[in-house]
Amino acid sequence: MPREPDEVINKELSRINLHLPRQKKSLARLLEEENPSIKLRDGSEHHFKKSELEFLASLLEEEEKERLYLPIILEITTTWHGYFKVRGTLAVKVVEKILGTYDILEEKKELTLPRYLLPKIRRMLPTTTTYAFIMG
Amino acid sequence: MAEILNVKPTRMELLKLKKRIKLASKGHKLLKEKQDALIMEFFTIYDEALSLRRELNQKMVEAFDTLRMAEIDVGVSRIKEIALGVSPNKEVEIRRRNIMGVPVPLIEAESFKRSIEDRGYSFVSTSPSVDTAAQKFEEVLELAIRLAEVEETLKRLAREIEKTKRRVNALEYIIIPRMEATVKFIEQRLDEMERENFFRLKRIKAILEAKSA
Repeated sequence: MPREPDEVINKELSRINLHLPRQKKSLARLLEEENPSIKLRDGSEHHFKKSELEFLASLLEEEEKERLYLPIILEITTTWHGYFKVRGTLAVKVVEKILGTYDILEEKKELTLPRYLLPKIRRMLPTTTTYAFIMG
Repeated sequence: MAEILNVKPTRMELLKLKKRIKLASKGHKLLKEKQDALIMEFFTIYDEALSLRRELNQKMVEAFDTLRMAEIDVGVSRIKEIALGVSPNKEVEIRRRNIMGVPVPLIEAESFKRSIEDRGYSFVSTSPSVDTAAQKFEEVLELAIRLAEVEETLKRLAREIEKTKRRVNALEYIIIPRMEATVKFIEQRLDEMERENFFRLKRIKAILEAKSA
């Protein structure tokens, strides 16, 4: 049966962010787990690579592992075409360290970066980062 | 010109349609962003798959070369006998990760390289060339598993890109133009009705004036 276009659009919009986590977990907690994973909004499980978690731990101080919540969300908004956003002091620190732009004297709470830098981050952190699509 | 929707040409419908166009445009923009992100992700993984495939091909050549040397050294039938005695390697556990709503496999296998004792065949009756061949094939196995994960991810991403593209195109070329054409039609119809009304009033006024004169 043909569906109404509105129904299709609404369904698509509600489906677009179902891969986001239901609840984030701290890096410290994930490092302790045998099978580090989280539950997603659609009810499925998302597993993290242990090697990636260890890599993240190597970028942070001991006490920061408790405060970094995973996965790191890379926000893509329709208003900022060609850019993406990262929020949270520690998430920003991790991303900047990967990109090689980290400055110890600067503590940023959010970061807006050009989209062409995404592959570099995703190549290093394929399981510990995720996209969020936000309607502007 | 695009087809028009089957709606009544009323002001209420016009307002509703304008709202629907706004929603559809937002949906289109968002889906297009998703499509771009999926394509970017696809090419990131594609590069990895290419280099893995190249590495695997090279390792395969090396492994078969060493196998040939081992066959020359101990004989084909003896190699087959040795192979029968080899204990199975580690099992692979396939987990799941999610890329923008696409469930893809995640294989985090430890090294498949084993010591001579772990392989299970007697090293008294074999030669070092057999050990080298076994080691080379263990390296091949490791790479093949990594490549399997990456290629399966690519396949699933490609399918999702296709689906998203179809939706984006449907919105861009069918749904939104159809709604816009309907809005235009309703606006024209309402204008026409207004003109008719204006003319009717003019006529009535003229008749009333003629009667009173």
